[in-house]
Amino acid sequence: MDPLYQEHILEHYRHPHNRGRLEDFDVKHKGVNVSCGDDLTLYLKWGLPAEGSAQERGTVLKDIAFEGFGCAISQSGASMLSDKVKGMTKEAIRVFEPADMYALYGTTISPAREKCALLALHTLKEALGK
Amino acid sequence: MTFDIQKIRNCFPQLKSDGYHYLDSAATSLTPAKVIDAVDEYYRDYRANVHRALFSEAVTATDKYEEARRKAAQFIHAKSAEEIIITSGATESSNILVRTLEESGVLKEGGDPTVMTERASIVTTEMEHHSALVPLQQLAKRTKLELKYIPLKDFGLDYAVAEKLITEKTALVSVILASNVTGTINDVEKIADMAHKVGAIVVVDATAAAGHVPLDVRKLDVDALYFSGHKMMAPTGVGILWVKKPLLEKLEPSSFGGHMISSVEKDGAEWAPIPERFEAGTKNIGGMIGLGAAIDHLEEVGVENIHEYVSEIASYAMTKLESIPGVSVLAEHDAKKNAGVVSFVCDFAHPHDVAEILARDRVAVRPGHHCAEVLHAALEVKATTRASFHLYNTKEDVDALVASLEKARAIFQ
Ligand SMILES: Cc1ncc(COP(=O)(O)O)c(C=O)c1O
Repeated sequence: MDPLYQEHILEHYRHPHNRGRLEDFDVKHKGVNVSCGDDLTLYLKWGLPAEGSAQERGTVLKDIAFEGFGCAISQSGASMLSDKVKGMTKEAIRVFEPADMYALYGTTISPAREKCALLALHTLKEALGK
Repeated sequence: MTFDIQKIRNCFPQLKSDGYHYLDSAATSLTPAKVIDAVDEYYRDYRANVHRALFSEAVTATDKYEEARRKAAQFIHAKSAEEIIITSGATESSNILVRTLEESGVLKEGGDPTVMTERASIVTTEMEHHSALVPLQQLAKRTKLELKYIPLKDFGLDYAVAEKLITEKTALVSVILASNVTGTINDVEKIADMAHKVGAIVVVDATAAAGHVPLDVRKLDVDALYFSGHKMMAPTGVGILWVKKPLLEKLEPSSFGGHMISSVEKDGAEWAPIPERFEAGTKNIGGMIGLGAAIDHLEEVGVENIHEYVSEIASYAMTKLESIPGVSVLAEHDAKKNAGVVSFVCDFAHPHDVAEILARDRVAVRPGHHCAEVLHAALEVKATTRASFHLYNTKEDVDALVASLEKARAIFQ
């Protein structure tokens, strides 16, 4: 098996989850990997959770979708991250770190591919401020 | 042609290790030992700043530096070394040139003061490198001149459209001699002819052509031409800007400081003669001496011979690549008109992923837009994988590229 292109990564690349656009969204935000020109557009729909007290509830990510053009690393990353953060609160997403992103890949990302691996996360973080 | 490839490869220390397939010469070429030695000698034996000082090291440094300037002049068949401005590379050359053309007011009247019309446009091509294009875009913004693009036709330029775009209203025509993406060698003579008929100034980016295509500014009949040393075996950080003397004499410097003046008083300064007037500050002296040695190396082999040899490899690469299912070559297919650059896309993988797999097999290629986003848009792709060849490459390098691409196909398909 390839050290980087592991089966789950390739699976997300070939059959991405949450790929496309949302008809009903609160935030649309485009991120660009300046080193290669690849781009990623995120659509976010915020809402309130079904359960929990009002203070605890906060805002949760009800739905997310992405579109764009990129390599297997950036595209599979967007797919895995979108799965991961769907249903999470804004606060939880705020503290989601690059290390957590690398954990989704479950393999070593070389410095040359860091920007690819973190494109989705950086775009999501930027979108939080919108 | 006798082209002793083993002898040539032995000149390049970086090719000592077996199994390294360097296919990224369009980004920067490898350096022959002779060039490294020339630079080394400067730093070890006679490092000194050039001009004026009288101690022998400074005299030697000045001699070697000026000798390299003369070699650069001969390399492009310039009339004299006075027309050669030493810069840090193509990007600086392009920026200096655009600024000085603007500030000297020559764009208003075009290159030919006898043709006095209202100049309103700049014409360039969709093929340009960002280093040529972005300064032109900024110039257009500042001057309100309209920037027009000669479109692509297949992998070359559409000369019929060029004919329509270049009119009496055109102040400046800026064209790339060879594309760093498709390898296409453009018919600059033809464009220059169109431009000069209407009195426009013609500027040429010869960066991807230098070392691959014999450069003859008089035959091309252009007004200015520039290139970087590091794409033609010289060190990084040195480049050339050539401007035809009658035009150069009309230009005002746009960068000021030491070395470019003849005298400075409290209320102003007088400029040094050309070309020093355009060379503010201390240049990359060692780099320029290295550029001189690089020109020697290229001329020993012969640029014509290099082109013939590299064409054959590029042609072989295009045939081999196109035999792989899912691979499309985006390059000038007539190898005689290709400066050794073969870009391609694979329907099974993104260029970044292709380059990653290739790197594991020590096949060095470059993914991305290669600083030519407008060209990629015209080709309707976001990015390509680029294999570029030079005199030290072999068909075995191409075979390694192809074998590795087959691996990528197996992984991603
Ligand atoms: C055609 C062309 N023009 C200009 C440049 C810019 O050269 P430099 O980065 O050395 O200034 C390059 C290098 O990539 C090039 O290929």
